[in-house]
Amino acid sequence: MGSVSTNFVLIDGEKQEVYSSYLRTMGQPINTVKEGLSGVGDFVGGGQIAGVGVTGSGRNLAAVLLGADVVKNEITAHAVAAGNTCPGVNTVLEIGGQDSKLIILRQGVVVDFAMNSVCAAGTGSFLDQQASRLGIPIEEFGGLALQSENSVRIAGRCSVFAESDMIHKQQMGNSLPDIIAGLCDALVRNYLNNLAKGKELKAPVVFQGGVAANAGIKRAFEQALGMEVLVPEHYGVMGALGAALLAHAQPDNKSSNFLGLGISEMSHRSRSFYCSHCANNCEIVELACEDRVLARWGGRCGRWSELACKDIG
Amino acid sequence: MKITFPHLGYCSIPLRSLFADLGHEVIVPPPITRKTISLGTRYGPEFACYPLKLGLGNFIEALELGADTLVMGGGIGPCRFGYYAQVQRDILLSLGYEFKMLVVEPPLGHAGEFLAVLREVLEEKSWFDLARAAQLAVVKLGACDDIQRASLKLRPLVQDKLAFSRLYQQTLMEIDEAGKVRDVRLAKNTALTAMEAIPRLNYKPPKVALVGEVYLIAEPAANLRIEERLGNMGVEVCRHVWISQWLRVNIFLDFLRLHRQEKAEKLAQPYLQCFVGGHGQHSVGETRKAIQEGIDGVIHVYPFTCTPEIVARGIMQKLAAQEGMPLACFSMDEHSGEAGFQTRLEAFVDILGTRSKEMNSYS
Repeated sequence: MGSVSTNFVLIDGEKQEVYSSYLRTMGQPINTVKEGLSGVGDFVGGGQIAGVGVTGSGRNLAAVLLGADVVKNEITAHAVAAGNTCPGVNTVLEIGGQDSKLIILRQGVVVDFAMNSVCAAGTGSFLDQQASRLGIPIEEFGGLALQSENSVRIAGRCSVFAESDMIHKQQMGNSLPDIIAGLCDALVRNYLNNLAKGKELKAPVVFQGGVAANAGIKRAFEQALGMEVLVPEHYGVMGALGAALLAHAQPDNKSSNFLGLGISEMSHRSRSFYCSHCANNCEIVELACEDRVLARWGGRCGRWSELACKDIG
Repeated sequence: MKITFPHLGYCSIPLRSLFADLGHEVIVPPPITRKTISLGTRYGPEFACYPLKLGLGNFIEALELGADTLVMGGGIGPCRFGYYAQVQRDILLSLGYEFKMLVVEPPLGHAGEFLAVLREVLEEKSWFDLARAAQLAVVKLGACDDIQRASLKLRPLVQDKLAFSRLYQQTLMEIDEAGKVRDVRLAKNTALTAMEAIPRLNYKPPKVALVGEVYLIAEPAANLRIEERLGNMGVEVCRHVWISQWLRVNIFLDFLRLHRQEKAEKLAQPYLQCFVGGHGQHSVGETRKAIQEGIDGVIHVYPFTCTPEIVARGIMQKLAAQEGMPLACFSMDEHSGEAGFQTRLEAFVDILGTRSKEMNSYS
């Protein structure tokens, strides 16, 4: 469950992907999960779900909602999926909606990683925003960039500066493909400056995450790194695939915590409040299914998370 | 005098004890919350580091509760901290607060200023009173450090982390309330025994060295409770910066001119010969020490815009890459979102796990 998309991947006992879906979270993670789950239910029919793994920035929410067996951070999940899809991979570039990651592997083991911290300049959301400003569907963005033969220079450090630079170039009369290619270069430059400094990027390089759909960014990476960049077939759902693989790796004798496909039909409700018990004023989030509290989290002291097991009373 | 001071982890415990024993009313600032952070960032200069802003927020909240005397650390040297007391004073004056600010300068080289502050705090109390109050405060600080040290070792191992947290908080409260050296020792020893008695997991935790700037290491509100988070993930944190030790080196040994170069500074020598301010040299030295001691990973925390630690970081990254030591650097500021922080910590711990598994399979 990411900031922008919520993805589902179903694998069989042989670790082969049999089903995947990519849904926009649209700020409504609970409904999106339920919608995605009903899609899974339609596909599975009478089949059985043996285990559930969740990842992404919304992993804790998704874990409570679904009853997950594995809750894993997205860095590890992406690395697992990349290692499984492209054995021997040494570098994983991942650009998602709100953050981007660089993962360095050696002999199949993660040895280093970096993740952008506070700035959205190098992420998919910014591309989305620029595409809509230019009135181009995001799907066509990459193709347009490839038409460019002479990309223009755009400042990549900050999305605000990049935007004003783009407007300036557009009013100077530069062609749209050149501007878009320039933006791709800027985004890649920003990514490499922020995440790759001091790190050795070795081939094979895998590029995944939603932005990997953008051929312009892929080309900009290839030019900047001077090596081939591979985009796996299921680039958009690699995090979910990693979580599924991690769930698959659980011991067989462990029964799943999965709450069942039926939860997509139930009503869920979340609310938040400030605890006034001490000066910390923690913000507590509560998730309830029908009339039962599934979990509360956000407190420092554990007072609320302990209450979670009990019904609303 | 209604005395207050900025928070630095549990240092409010010994400081409250010290000033209260000298006959002052002490107003401990409320714990650092979102309110403190927003006050500090609203009135502090944007590119000043996080410690200035949090301290400023503490002062504002304490002034609102009636404090009239602010005690703040001073300093000299490349780190901007030495100037923060002056900046904070000017900001608070411009906000219309009325107060007196006492800046504690390092006694060595600034003995006059140091003694002037002492005399001001003492009022009509004697040097003997000061010695007695200071003794209790130092014992309390030492006890807090001992409890923290034990918690770094035991938290990753105990099964019931919540019960452990409760015991830890309870103990700090008892130390805070204790009125005699004997009571402090009793509270500490009872707690250590109780901590040892909590059932444990049979497991050898990976060890991580926490290095970096002292405020960020010692103030859980600034480092997003990194020690607790790591402990709950089953990681033992090894930390080399302790306030009681820092006091000993910087106040007493410096003062008596006994201060020999510390081990970490020596270890940093081949990479960083000069003092770059703050704990820059230490961070490099501690990284090298962690490599020598076979620690599993190094976590570097420092405030955003901290020059000494940025100098150290470049060296540490190269050193860590050469030696295959996992290193995570966190530059902390008001913007640090907890979710992203937790994700990075978890991924870092995963690296340690796969590494140690790999090492076991080779041995």
